[in-house]
Amino acid sequence: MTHWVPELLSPAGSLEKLKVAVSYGADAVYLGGQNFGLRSAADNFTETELKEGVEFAHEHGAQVYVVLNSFLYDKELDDLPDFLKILEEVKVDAVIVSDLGVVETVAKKSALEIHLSTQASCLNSAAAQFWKNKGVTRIVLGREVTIEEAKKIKEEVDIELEMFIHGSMCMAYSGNCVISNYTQGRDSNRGGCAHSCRFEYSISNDNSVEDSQKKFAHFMSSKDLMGLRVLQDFIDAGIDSLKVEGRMKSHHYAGTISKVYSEALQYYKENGNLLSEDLYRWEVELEKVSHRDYHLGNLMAPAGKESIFPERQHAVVETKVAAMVLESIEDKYILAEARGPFQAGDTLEYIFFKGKTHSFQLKEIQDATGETFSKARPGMLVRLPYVREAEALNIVRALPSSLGQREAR
Amino acid sequence: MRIISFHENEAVENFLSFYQQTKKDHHLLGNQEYILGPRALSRVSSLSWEETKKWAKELKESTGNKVFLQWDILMTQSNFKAVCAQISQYASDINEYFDGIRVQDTGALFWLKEHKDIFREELIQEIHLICENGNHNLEGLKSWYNFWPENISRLVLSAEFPAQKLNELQGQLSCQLEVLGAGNILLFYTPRHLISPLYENENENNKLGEYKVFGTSEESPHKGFPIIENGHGTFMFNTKELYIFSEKEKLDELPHFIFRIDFPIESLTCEQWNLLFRKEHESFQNSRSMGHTKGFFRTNKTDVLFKKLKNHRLQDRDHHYVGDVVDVKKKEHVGILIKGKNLALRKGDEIRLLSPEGREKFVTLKTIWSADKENRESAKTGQIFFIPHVGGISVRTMVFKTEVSSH
Repeated sequence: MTHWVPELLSPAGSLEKLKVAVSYGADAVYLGGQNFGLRSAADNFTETELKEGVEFAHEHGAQVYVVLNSFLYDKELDDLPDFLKILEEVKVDAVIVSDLGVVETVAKKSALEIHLSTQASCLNSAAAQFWKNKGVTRIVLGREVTIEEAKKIKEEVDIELEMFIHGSMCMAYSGNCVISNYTQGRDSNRGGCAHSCRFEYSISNDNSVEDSQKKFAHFMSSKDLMGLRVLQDFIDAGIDSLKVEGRMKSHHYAGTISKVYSEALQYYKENGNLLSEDLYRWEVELEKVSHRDYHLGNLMAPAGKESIFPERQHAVVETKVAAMVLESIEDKYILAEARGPFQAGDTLEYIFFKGKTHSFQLKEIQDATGETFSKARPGMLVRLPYVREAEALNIVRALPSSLGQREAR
Repeated sequence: MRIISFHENEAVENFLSFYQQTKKDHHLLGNQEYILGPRALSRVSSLSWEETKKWAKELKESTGNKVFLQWDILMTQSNFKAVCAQISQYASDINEYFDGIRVQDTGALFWLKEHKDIFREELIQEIHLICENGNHNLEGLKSWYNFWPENISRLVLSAEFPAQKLNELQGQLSCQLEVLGAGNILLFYTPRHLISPLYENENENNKLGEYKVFGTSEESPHKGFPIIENGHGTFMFNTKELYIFSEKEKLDELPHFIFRIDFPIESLTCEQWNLLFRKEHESFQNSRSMGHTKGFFRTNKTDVLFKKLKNHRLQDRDHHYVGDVVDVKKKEHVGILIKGKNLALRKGDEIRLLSPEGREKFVTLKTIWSADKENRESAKTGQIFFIPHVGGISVRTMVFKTEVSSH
């Protein structure tokens, strides 16, 4: 007997990240085209890449959703139908939309399924009913909604719900922040967010007081969301899809997060509970990607003062990405592209698509032609020891020396 | 027409005092409306429900003008249910004291339509829908209006629209249109309480839990963002007040617009009301403690800058794209990984190499070999092959099969 679990929806900032996320277990990915999305600085997908990405995802049983969640002006709305036609031709599974004008245009000009973006700040059952009546088939709830509240919305309005389970958090109600517009001349709701909420500010009662009387704080920087421990609550509430934030983040992030949550969901599917002995390992894995301190956000209760991340920089993560496997030369070696610096003597770790990792101490570094080097630099093609399970798109990590020596034994 | 928003007792007192002094000068005052909301329903109001009703009554009696109830908070499910229950409970008061209701939360709009029968007909026919966040296209604005056309009497538009766009819109929407004319520009709204943790041990007397502070970041040239924290969360405003009333020519082209005057940070004194209504723009601006901006009223180019953030050369992938250069060894080789699906390159094919810097090279594949230095006739998707070194080509260079080879 298997148990129902929600879909795991991972970010795909590029074609390679799409393949990584799907290979590591994502049930669906979301991505942006060259226009109409909110992550202007992400690589995003050309038409050719989109076609290839959808084919790859579908071959692996995964869905593809395309974000059209920028707040569009009239001119862009005029251009949208041509893009919708392409999306239909390449058979994407849904579009993610935040603007009512875009919802209307997609509904009129295509047969694409419409998911409402969190940017629309849909927070309650009446709002959900409004959007359902507009033809929306799934709502990505505002990040301020608790799981308990989401459950009630689901009970009142029979519609698919999606909630964020992991990643960076906007401090403001999504779509309600225009700091970048007025301070940087970049429209935050059209892909130009400058992350001003991550800055340190001096706070005072009076604009004219001296620095000594001010309080200095990263007062509006949110900790990152991490919902692994409340996965059971999502399942019990019948939340249809669990979303991982981060189209701008690395392959390491896309792969690691997809792997951890998909393994946890798979465990639940098979056992009907999350009492896995791997729970601790999954949490350790989540610590290995770059992140701010983790927090439950608003998932269980409205976020309080402990949800604020008081630093400018991310937490120091000692585990670094070393390489990505490009090709396995059977019984000989693994060809990998170095993505970070490493050297002979370092302990590296293959992260396979499923199951435990494999760590090994690197005796020497060979380039693609077998010539020996003492160090690998990013971009270099290297030969790594052959391991049968390793395959293209596997991530290779460098472990910190103390941990590495222990794990490599 | 102007609509004036009040958030505290002093603000209404000052305005009424000004009004009493000026009421004979009808030409100066022009047409007006007012916005009032209790702190339970309105984002930055400090008025109790009793105070709200009192001022609504007094404003109507003194001026004969309409007063609208501000219900502009956003509400997650639990709060939404509680607030709707309160609104139902106070429906008779709302019917008595107000001429219409202003909402932003989509749920609030939907709920009003579902519960319209508890309100008097004239009141429920004056719904002002706040569309200030996003909603930058006509299609969307029309759709909001068409959700309840007989009752949505006004759309409140984004302050990010330039005058030219507002001008276009006024001819295409069949309801009233409102935009911020003078006041504080809200930069963000969060339900989190961000300021009180900084004053945890210092404000035992702050029973309402309300804070008004200023924030400055060394990472931004803008100093002194006004910030309000109250029961609804935290609100940060721009360092400068919006003031577009000095743009006479542009305003003349917007005769049907209603301009909102909305100063939640520092309410206007009697004298400042006088200066504002007398259109003594410079004197008014000089009398205020904050600087002034015209915002995006003249032009909005906020999406120009970030178009430059990307290397567009790396995006130029058409259907001839076959892979990337993954290794370069000077005087020896260039390693190419074939990506995509079911692709292959053979000896004799011509490829185009396009580097991230924009350098373009054409190469005919005379010899190709594997990492083991074994000569090959071809390479397919997922494989890495090597060709003799090509000058000026680096890792991340894109590889295309040329038209010649494709045929």
